[in-house]
Amino acid sequence: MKSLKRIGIGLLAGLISMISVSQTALAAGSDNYVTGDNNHREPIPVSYNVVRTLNNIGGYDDKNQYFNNPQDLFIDKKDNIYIVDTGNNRIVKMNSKYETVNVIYGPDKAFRNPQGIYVDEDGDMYVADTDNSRILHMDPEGNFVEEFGNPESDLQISDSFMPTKLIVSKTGYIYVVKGENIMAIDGNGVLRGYYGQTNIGYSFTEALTRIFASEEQKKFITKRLASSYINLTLGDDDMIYATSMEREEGEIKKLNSIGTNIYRKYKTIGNSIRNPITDFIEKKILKAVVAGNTFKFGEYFDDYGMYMEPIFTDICVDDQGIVTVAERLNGKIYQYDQDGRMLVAFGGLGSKKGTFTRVSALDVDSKGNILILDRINGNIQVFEPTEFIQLVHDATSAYNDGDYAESYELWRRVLAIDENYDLAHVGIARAYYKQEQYKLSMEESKLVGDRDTYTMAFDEYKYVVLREHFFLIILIAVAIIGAVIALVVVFTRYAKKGYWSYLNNKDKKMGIGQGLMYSFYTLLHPVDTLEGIRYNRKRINMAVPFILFLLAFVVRMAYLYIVHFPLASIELEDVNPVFEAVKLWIVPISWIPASFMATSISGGESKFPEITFTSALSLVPFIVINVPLMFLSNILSKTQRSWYGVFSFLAYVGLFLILFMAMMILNNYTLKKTIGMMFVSAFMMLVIWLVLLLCYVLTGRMIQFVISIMDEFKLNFL
Amino acid sequence: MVKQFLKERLGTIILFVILAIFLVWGYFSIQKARSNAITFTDEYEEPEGNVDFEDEGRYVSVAKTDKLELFYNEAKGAIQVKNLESGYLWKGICDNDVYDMSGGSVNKMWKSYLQSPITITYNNLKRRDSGARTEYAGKDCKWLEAEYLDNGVSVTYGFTTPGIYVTVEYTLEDDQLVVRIPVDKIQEKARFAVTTIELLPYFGASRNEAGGYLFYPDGSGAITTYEKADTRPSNVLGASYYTYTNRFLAFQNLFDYDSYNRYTAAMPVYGIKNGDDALFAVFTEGAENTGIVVYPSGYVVDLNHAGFEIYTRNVYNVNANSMSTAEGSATGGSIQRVDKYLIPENREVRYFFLSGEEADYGGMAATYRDYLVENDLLKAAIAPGDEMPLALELLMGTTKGGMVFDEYVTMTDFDQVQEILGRLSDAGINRTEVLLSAWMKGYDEYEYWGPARQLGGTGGLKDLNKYLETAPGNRVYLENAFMFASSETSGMSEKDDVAYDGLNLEISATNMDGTVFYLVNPLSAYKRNLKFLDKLEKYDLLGVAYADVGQYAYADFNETASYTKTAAVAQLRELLGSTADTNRYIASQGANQYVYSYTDYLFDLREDSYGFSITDYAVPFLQMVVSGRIPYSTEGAGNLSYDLQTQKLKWIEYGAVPYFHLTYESALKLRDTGYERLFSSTYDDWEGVMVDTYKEFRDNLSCVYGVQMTDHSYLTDDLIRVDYANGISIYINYGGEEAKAEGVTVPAKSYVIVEGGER
Repeated sequence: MKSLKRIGIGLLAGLISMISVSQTALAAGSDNYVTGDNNHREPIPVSYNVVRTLNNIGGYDDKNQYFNNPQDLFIDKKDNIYIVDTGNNRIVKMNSKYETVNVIYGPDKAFRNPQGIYVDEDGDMYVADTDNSRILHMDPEGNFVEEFGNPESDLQISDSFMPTKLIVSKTGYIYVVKGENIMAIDGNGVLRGYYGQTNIGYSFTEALTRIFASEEQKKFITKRLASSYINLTLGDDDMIYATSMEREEGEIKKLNSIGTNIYRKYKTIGNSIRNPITDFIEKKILKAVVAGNTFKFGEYFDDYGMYMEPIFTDICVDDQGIVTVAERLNGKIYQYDQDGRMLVAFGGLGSKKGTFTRVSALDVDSKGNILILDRINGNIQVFEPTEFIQLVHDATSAYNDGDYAESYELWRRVLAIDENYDLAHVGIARAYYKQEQYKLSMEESKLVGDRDTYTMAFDEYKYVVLREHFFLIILIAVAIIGAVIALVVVFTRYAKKGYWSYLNNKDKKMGIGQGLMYSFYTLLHPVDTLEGIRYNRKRINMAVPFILFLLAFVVRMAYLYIVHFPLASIELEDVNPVFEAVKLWIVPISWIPASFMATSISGGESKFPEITFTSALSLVPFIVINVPLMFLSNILSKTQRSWYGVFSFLAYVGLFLILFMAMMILNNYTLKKTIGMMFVSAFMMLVIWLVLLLCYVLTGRMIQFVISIMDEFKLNFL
Repeated sequence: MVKQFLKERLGTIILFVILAIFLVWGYFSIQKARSNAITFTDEYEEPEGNVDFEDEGRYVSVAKTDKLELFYNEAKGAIQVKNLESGYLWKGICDNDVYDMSGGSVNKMWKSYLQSPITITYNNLKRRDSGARTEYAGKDCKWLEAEYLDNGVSVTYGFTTPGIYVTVEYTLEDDQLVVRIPVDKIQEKARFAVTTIELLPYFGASRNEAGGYLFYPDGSGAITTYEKADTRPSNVLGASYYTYTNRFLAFQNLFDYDSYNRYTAAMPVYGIKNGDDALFAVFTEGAENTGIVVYPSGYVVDLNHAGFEIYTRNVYNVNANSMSTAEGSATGGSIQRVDKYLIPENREVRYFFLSGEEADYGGMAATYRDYLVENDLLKAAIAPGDEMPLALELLMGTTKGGMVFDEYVTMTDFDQVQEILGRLSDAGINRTEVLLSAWMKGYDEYEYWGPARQLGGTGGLKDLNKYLETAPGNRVYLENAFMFASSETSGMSEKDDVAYDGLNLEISATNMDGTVFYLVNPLSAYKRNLKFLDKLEKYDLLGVAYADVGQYAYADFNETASYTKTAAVAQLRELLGSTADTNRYIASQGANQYVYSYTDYLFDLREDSYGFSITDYAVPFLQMVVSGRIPYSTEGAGNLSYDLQTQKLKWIEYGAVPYFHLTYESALKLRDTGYERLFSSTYDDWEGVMVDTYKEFRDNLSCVYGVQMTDHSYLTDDLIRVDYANGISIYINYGGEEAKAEGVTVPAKSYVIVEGGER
């Protein structure tokens, strides 16, 4: 019951005043955790320890010992550290022992607001000298080599050139972050094109505006831009790893040589009931409440349980391909493996060792230490990996290199430290899979909710079973098919019986059993069924729609329990019955008043009871389709999801068609009029929701107001 | 007719009735509040001062013992103490020798602050939105009056503008400087209420060149060295700690461990080491309402200093957009409300002066330990010859949220506890400290009794008790928390059982799922404990582990039985005493000083400092105080560490017994429960490691079990030496490479025990 209450109160709190005390904030313990694909924080052993904090340049002979708003940090192959000390307009170079060896204020002219640096294998420095509108190339001692201004190009470019973050590829191209692109400049300062354009996505509002706006107005509509890149780094595999504000495909990208993102991308896990309306509500309105079923880089919620959209200020990649990013809003450092699975999250905002105020940059050295630069605190903290996380790195790398036996052993060692480390179980499940131990693989992956590995193993396992018991299975299949056919025949007969007995007994009120049988006749002859209601509207039994609504809910609940693990869209313990009911009923129930209001003002004949009845009938396809589907799902896996989804979709087509036909038949409308009225009703539905929401919010405010007065009364002195 | 009217206007009538009730209630609330408001006279006339701030005055001796000499300066109202053994002069305020205040190096306010023996902070009762104001004796104390005593001097500091007079007595007793502030000698003559007194803020302040460090009770203890000053950030921050519990009492602060760890001091002490001399200050009376402030060099002035803050009243901020108060109105922001009366407590601080070998945090710990032992505040729970125990915490059960119904997850039942003890005994371990947590069915609801049926119920508990008769070396504690309750706790009365703050609001927090959590008032906690002991009567061998008593102490303004923080501490001591009277073993989480006289075992002791940017090293000060007298384990469990070897070294450095936090069932069953932080706890997996670890400790470290840890020093950042009273020294090397020091070679990530050292 607790989960139910939590969402209920959460909703209330979220809408009224965003007061919430999150469980995680109250929990004590390790600051290190991972979130799986369901965004649930699981504590893990300490993975990084701060071994050193550099608060200044260590007594190097310079006029200013302290950093001022430093914006970038780079570690070269020899573990030299370069800090772009933006506020002091200088570059500080330290050796691997963290001793300052050089401070550069600009070889030819003073740096102005430098923001980025890249150092190549020879130790040559490339500095984004932002306010000087140039990229400066210096030799390892800091002498001038060359500079690059706004690149020449055939394209008309009038933008000013304000380089910030950059890398230089082995081919000598300079890649600079420029809005939604990464700009490539060759060694001669010529623009070689734009690279890795982010996804612009689709905006419903914009599409609407474009339809209705006049030519004049269109001129004033600002062009919507794709999301910007924030930072980038070059991997040892010569891929460009970048962070962006792009929320559709994923904020973290790994771009290959032609600018295609080959890192993990967001996708939704297949859901049997994909209802565009509830989807919209989930994604846009209730995102803070229901977020959490899908994978996300970073997290949906900060330490206080507030919804957030992560902003990754910097990214670094080690020689094994492990990606580490710094998030600005909650100050966390997130680490991902080669496939984008989270290995650890640590850090956070705060004033103690190992926490940050505003992370501006990070990089990793050859020993795996992560150096994190904080621009407000003006310090660098050196995070040393613990034995635990090193094992995890080795294990994931071994798997990536195809050494499954080695990876299996390493994951076992990880589990000896942390029995609950999700990725270790996944790794072992995969190793089992490679060793063709499918059953074990399925068990292991189910333990941690890894649907992908489970699916792979299950598909193989299915064939193994099929091969072993071919005839038996065929026999059972035939038996089942026979039984199903028999069932359909019986069912049809009953439905027909219900229909005719209702129509023929003109003076008897509809019985409940009769009414239910009658309802299922909808599937056979929808038009007849609906007309039957229209012409016998006096005799319908209102208990029937009520039972149908309930039945649909029971079917949904049963579905959640019975559906096959890889096809489940939500973990059972996360299911909130209230929310499930809302999702299921929101359309048919709000349809009742909406369509009643709409039709009653435009010559409709339909009355409230029959609309309720037909609205309930629209759930019949859902009930009939989902019952066999949930059983059938148990021999299906994620790979067969698409045609499985077709059936779920049919339930929605059915729902829509029945509502449509009901409106046409009950009101005796023409086809054209019906279409028009459908739109009006849909609009009415929206209005109803908005009014309800408004009432809800206002009542909440009212209650809060009264409570605050009562609190005031309680105070016992002035 | 009337009926008709009533029928038609029913809604309006109800509305007006509600409104009327509201108005009447509001009227009486305001009357009540008004009667509770502080009354003051506005007829105060500021008297003529007698202080000439230009007069430097001179220090004259007012008391002398064999070891110390106390000087007083009449013009400044300041004291100095000379350590006659070492000749070191401890200055109560700064002069130009300590810090050059000439020229523009410091502004006027700071200059006067540096020369202030005390400062006061007060609220204007007429202007509630104006916030607190601070006055510095160095420029605002216009009236000074000294009365010479046999062994010292009593000084009255008169801050004439706000009409606040504070008398401070400085005396030498038992070779200590004792400073007292009697509450009846704090006078408020006008409409200003004093809330904080800062006592001797610059006593012993020194520059980095002096060499040394500031010691403060952050976590297990922490030091800020003078020599590392240049590694600190450009903006050096100060740190403040509140004795026993966060001063600002919000429920979230109690449950937010980060905030708790940040602000709470388990002991009211601090120390300053300057060169070869050290000063160690202990708050010995009225310590409950105090704080410790620490400012390393670089915080405005280049001086390292620390001191006590004395809270004479509680202060509350009330947010108000537009509100009327008794006098005038406040618009926007928040107004401050303060307690009606001064906290009725005399204050006493003792300053110890150490020199030579003793002038370090080891010496300070020994001093404090001696003080506690003398005053019977530190139990000798370890008898000579006692065997070192293995510390084990067992999670018994929890609930897992289901779609409709919660599911009970059994992790260790009472029979399995017996089995575990039996298996340990078979492995040769017969001395354990075992905590059983979450053993009740209503554990999450803060019930205090009711062994869960799934764990074996009362029958299972009885069997366990019986088993303990045959295995006397095992001490089993039932973990309980009496100071918290939730809206689901049975028999809770919001009026009588809940603690209230000074504004008359219950101290509570509402969780996401709508459950309200409360802080229970001290009397009710005491009564709940008595009821628990009644229930426990049949189980004579089971001890009690207190999860909260040693961590939280707070004032309660409940109208039925109000408590000052000091009275609350006394009540908590009585609570522990009533358990001790039943001859049960007592374990305590949190090591606030007041539990030391009762506990037989301290668990979850901090083994680090909070980690402020000003802190250079964490030190086991707390551990040095209790070592050899009370067995303890630290918060790091062997099975939850990223590297067991590192954790072992930490235990050795901190003198702790090995500790594991386990479950009989697989840790995988804890997924999606509230105990996911136990990511690795399966008994079968850890048994071997645990037995080996314990045996290693018993074989190697029994020689220091029950022995006082006398000193602790950082030889390098990774190499540490701890010394014991019996001459044994242990060198601990955390580094990845072999280390050498003082003729001892310590292998990487290892330790070496050296007997009969020079000490």
